Amino acid sequence: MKIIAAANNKGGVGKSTVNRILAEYFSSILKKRTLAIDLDPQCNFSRRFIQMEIDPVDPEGVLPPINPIYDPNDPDYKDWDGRSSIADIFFGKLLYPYPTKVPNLELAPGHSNKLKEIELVRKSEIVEKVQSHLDYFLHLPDVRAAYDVVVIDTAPSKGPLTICAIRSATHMLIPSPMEPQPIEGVFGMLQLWKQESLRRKASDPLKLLGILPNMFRSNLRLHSDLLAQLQNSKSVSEYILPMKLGQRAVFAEVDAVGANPAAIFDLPDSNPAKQEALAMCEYISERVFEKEISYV
Amino acid sequence: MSKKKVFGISPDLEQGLNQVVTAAKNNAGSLRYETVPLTKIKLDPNNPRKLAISPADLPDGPLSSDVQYEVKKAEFDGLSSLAHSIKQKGVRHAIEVYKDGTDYQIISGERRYLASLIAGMDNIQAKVLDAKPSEFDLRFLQWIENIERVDLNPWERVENVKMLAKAYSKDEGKPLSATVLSNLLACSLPYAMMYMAMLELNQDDEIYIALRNNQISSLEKAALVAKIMEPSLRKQALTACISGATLKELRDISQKDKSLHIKAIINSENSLPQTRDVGRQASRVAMGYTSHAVVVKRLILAILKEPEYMVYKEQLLPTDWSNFKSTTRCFQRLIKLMEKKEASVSINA
Repeated sequence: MKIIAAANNKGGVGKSTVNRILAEYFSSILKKRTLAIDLDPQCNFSRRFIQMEIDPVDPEGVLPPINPIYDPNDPDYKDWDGRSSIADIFFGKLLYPYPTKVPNLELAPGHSNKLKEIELVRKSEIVEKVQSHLDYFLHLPDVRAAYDVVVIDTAPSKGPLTICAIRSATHMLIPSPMEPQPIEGVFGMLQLWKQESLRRKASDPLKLLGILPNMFRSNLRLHSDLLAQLQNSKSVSEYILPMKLGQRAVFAEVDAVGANPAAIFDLPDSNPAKQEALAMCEYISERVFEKEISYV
Repeated sequence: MSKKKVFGISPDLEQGLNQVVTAAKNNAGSLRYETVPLTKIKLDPNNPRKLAISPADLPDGPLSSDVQYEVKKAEFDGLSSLAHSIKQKGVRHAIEVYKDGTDYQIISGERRYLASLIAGMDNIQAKVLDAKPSEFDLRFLQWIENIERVDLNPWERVENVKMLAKAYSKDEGKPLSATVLSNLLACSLPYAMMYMAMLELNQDDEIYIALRNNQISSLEKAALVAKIMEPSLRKQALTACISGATLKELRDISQKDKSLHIKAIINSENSLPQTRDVGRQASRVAMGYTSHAVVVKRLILAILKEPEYMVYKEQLLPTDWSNFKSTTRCFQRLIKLMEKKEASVSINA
């Protein structure tokens, strides 16, 4: 089972957009059984697939709606109130993934309040437990048997939940605009990759897919110069993806209510955004679903 | 029209990015720290730094009915202050273990482990090696760990080096030499030679027995006495040593040993000219190339004339000496045969 996390502790760099594209590609194009997990208290990733509800307890936050598979009369579900989020696994409860409109794609939605609570733990023993818990969960036989690939979205932070995602991931992607401040953020994410790499067993590495130049504007000198600099830079260059995602309105438009088409992959093949998305997804799929050749 | 703007990220950031990527690639899997349950940890029975006290005596300490009560109680008390600090702050320096099935075998950190048991902890921080290190690496790691402790007595150190030598010869297929030992232990060559002299002692040698009974205070003294060949002089020196003679006094006695000079010449690692190696230690002899096949032909035929190699004549001859490839093949085959045959023979024999 492959587990991919596109992560960056800088906000607004396009993590959720990239994760959505990947999740839809794996499920609707490659027909792989895909689980999308939202670890961001802001729940943007969840909102792309299901209608989240305002949390009565926390008006700033949202929580998942009643799961369509829920039947209050079913004795199997007697201890369940019908709502389920990934946060529940940290409290020892079961996860009931949500179906989405996308074939083969299921969602483990976020829950603003609960995820915020988890993110705030400070006691070192608990932090350690949180950081390893998703890894434990994703390795349960039931979970491994149910999905071919997992896509995890994280908050712009380096807190316990992001570490959680990195701890359980088999592959990591760092989307970033080609601008100075975001690239500083990339530096931080590379450190996280290094730290995690060092503590992994040789047989179970965390592979860095690379840095994805995102929200790219080809008419901006800034973007092309910085990209060129990274592409020519000793060790980093091999980790700069050979394709980019441009700053295109359509990437945001497909999220709007009533958008038509509602997904990048429903656009005509000639559409540049779709071409970029496909190029990126193909590159990543090749590397994620390769045959097991061992090279570091 | 203003100059075209050129943008870049700072050189520091660029360097930082490259360093992190290189570090991650080069060190993957090398810093695996886990919190390991104490119940899954096993002690290495072959580590010479062996305490009498064992997990069975903990956490309350040895029973007064125990045969080794005195020794164990002393060790227990020694561990108690460590246990106290572990209770407060945890083990500050992770122990080293390797995974052995579902258990973890200790490479280093026996005292920290035992103290953690006394402190009533459940887990301990450990650096985990995936696979059991080679016998040699294991002994060497334990040596490094043990030798940091000044309270290892001379006999324990000799025993440690003995295990190291045994593991080395098993791994490398040749006996440990003083030069290699001095590199491993980062000590001087004479000091390493002193260890080697100690390794040659018999189990029932009086010096060995005196060492084991903790009657000799330093290895230098023991080595000095061991070098004395003449039996009555040796006995005299040993008695003097046990009664606390100084190194100088022992040297005066050993000077009287006539056979000392001869032994020094025969036993000579240091009368041969030292080749000062710089750079990486060579681990094999380079055998090079030659375009004069006749040289190789003569070497091969000369070896095949030796009584123990005559049998291989049929396997290796006839060879077309005018063909480089077949000459090479013949030579390589002979080398392989010789390597097998000579494996057990020491190079200085």
